Amino acid sequence: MLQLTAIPTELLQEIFSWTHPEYDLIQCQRLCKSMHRQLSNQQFLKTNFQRHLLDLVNASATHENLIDQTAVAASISAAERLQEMEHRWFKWSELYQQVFIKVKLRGTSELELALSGYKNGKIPSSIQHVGPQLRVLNLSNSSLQGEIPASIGALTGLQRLDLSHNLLEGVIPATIGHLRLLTHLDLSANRLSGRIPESIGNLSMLKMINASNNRLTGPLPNALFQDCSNLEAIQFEVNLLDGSIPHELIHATNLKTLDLRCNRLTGTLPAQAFTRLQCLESLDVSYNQLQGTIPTQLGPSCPELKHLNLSHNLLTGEIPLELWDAHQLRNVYLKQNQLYGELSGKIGNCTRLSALSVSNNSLSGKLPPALGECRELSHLMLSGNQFEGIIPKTWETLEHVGYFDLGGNPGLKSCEGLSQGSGWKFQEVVKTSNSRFPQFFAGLRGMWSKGFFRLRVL
Amino acid sequence: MVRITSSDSQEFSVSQDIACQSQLIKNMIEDVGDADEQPIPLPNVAGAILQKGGSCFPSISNAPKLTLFAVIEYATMHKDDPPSAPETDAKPSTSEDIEDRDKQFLNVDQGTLFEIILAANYLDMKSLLDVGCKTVANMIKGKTVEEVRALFNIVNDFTPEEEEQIRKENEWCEDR
Repeated sequence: MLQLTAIPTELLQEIFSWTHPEYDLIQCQRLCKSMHRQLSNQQFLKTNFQRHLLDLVNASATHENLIDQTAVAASISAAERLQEMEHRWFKWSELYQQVFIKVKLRGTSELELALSGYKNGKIPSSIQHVGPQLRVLNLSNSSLQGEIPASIGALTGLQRLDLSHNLLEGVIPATIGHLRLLTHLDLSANRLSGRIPESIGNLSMLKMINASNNRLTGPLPNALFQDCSNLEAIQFEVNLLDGSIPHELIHATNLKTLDLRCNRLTGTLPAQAFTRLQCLESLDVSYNQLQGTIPTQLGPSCPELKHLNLSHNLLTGEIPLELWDAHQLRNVYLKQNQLYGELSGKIGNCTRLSALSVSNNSLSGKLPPALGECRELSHLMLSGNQFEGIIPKTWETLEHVGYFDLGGNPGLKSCEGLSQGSGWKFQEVVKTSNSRFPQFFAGLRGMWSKGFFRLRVL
Repeated sequence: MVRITSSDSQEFSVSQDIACQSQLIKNMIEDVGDADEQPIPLPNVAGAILQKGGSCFPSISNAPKLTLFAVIEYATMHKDDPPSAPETDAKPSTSEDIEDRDKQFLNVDQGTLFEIILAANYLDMKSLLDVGCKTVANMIKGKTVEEVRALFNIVNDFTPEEEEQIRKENEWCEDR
């Protein structure tokens, strides 16, 4: 009698194509050696899984728009099986992934996967087959490796693309410029290199672009700013970008956040551009090689400005008085530049100020008593300058200061109204280590005895 | 009518529409026939089947007449079926989709079932091949490895170590 084991491989595979790929087929590899040999063919396994999934595709297609009990039950059952399949995405071929994506997306417009833990996973170039109905693609935090496939440009319906926090390498494909409906693009925290493609200028709907923490080189493309009135956030921090900040920035009239810190940008700040950035809330260009002065336009033109970080550049000139017209300012970091002149009393206008750092410049003159108006100040770093005179008595209102550094100002003498202090000089870094600095001024004497200050007696 | 002869020299006469459910026979008739639907010289066709079968598929050439008889019976049963729809429009089919009459027809011993599948494959009769494979698949589905071994008289020739190795390879399937 003819035995199952005597059936030719192609027919055996035909038989097993009607079984469940995992529950039956894989199990039956254990029947005996000849069955194992015949059922272990990788191509056959892949094809079989593919067929199984295609059935699911068809099933969900059939039931997509029907509302009856059977259809619902069938959909649920298909969905359950899909969930089960999901975490095996990267174990199989492109073909399988393609089918998987199709299945996953049938009847939905979003693909959100958390596939963390899968080493060597790649974004399949077949992702293009998902088609233009896909609106959201979120593959963040998935340990994805390899390059972003150029075929991603086929997903022309995408509104949000998040590939952040992976291990993606290579360049940003120019085809990304085809995604004209894109409003959010997040490629941050990868290993992307090369230049930012000019085609990114096609993305006129873009509200947020974040390519920070990569290895991008070359300049910021002018094209990005040609048609950018929707842009609210531009983040290219921690890359290797060079060139200057384009004057075309002036077109980004809705920009709230510009973060370009830790690059190799040169040139001056585009002063004229700031006259149109009336929504700007946060500007961070620290750790670059920017030259020139702080634009006077920054304060009057950007009334919403809350966070300003220009530190670690080559900026020179005085801190413009106009800067303190931005009354909303919370954090101002100007340290490690070549600024000179005095710290204006107008700073007292910024009553919401929480952090001020002008350390390591060449600022001189007396400390402004008006700073005492900034009641919310918690970080005050004035070290490494040429300030002279005494600490104004008005500063005793700064009761929230938790980090205070006046060191390296040889001309500073003592505190006003602190008679015993007349013989003291602030020589080294003077800091408090507690998070609260209650009754800063009034308690100054007590602080000394508690070791909050590091002082040297001359 | 088409005359066909089994490997054990049994001759059958079947009508052309029945015989042509075999794509193989259909092609042969088309190869040797002419356009005005004159009867095909039968001995040539039958001989060709046997000769080809004999060389390529020994098990067919040795197939008992019962197998061919059974195949003809199936073809007769399905002669009025509409031509199968193109692949793209085909409804998703599962191994459960077997007509009752086919179930009854294939309610035979394992040996015969396998012979029918082999014959269907050789004669290129897709619907019979599908229904045969589905039937075997249904015998396998949902069973444990031991149950399948028992059902098909399969001897486990793995050492315990080898079996453990395979089990490990497929571990990802079992964490469901």
